[in-house]
Amino acid sequence: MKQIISICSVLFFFGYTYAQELKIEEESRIKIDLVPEKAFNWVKEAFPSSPKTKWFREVASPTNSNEIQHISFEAKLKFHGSAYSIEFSETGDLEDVEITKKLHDLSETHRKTLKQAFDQYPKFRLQKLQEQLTGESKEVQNAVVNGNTEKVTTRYEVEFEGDVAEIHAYWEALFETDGTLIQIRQIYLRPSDNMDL
Amino acid sequence: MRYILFILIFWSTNLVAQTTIGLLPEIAISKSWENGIRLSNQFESMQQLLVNTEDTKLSNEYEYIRSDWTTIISYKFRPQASVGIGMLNRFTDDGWVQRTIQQISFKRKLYSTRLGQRFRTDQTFAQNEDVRFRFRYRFAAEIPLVGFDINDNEWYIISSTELISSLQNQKWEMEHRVLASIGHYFSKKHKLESGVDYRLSNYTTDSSNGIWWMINYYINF
Repeated sequence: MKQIISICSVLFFFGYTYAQELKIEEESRIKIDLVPEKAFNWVKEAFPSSPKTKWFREVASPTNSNEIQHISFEAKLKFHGSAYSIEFSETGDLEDVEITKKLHDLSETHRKTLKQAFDQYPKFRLQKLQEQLTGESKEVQNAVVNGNTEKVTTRYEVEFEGDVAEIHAYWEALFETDGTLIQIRQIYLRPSDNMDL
Repeated sequence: MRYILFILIFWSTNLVAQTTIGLLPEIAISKSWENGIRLSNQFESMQQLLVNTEDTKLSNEYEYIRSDWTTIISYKFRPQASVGIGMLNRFTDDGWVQRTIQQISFKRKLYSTRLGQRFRTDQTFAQNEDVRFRFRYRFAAEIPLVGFDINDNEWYIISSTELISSLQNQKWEMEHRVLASIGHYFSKKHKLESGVDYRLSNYTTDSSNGIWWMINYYINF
């Protein structure tokens, strides 16, 4: 029995010691009463049928002294078969709306330009495509409700597997509708030793 | 978790020939390189605490069963897929057992859940025994308990089911394993999982089963 107790003690000691490490990013589910009223009302007005909405609070800790902590609120819901992710600032101002799409859902022009943009990455495999809407709060709301995107900025956030600068990995890229790349970053994949061993 | 444990104990102590309940602590230390190579060393010790047979009730019978040291070298040929080979050294009171291992594994994300599949073959070499060949398939799901992804210092659930068929001396046997654990992800370098590993073997004749309390600690460099 002493053998068992000693093994367990060592394992728990390791656990306690490393629990003190700094958090980089934390997304936690929150109750509605913690959501800024402005953000809650925006979602209520855009989706009067009140689809089931999950609210999250996200804290991105600074990774160096030049950055500041970013706190945001995010509503996730499904509407007419599409997944919506709506991000607000700490004070409840709209930051962006992201709608999960299939490539064939896009207009022919956007589909064509995006496909051309994807062609520059060898071994490209699309994982996730989101239409990102930004702009003046009321106009974005109008775009969500009526599908009128003339007065908002539309971009596409794409997650893919492929080669970028000869590195084969998972990537998240943001494209303009004409296929211009705005930003790209490698997606961090958690170690999978617990699934492999 | 308590409900699942109750069902497992009820099932195992009533319907099969022998049931063993014990501990299965494990520590796995892995080092990954940017070229996709990963070297893992896994140390595991199995210890029996309680045993029950058809003739006796569940009784307290501590017994050291074995300790395993497994080394796996794997290559990530895609971001979510790897192939590996390895070697297990098993130390028991009856002697030293060696096993060679080959495996391929795939992962994918489905909404917030990470799914994993592992296909493994192994060959076990023990003194005075024929070689045992095993074919294993495991399906696992890892679900964050907070948010859509597992971040530092967050909790998650991991569960898996595995089918193992083995061939020794022209005789086939089957084993089924079901695992359910709760995990804590401290950081990309450290995580701890604890839960139940239920194993049912030879479920055609002379079936026996085991319920093992796992405490797994993973370290990544």
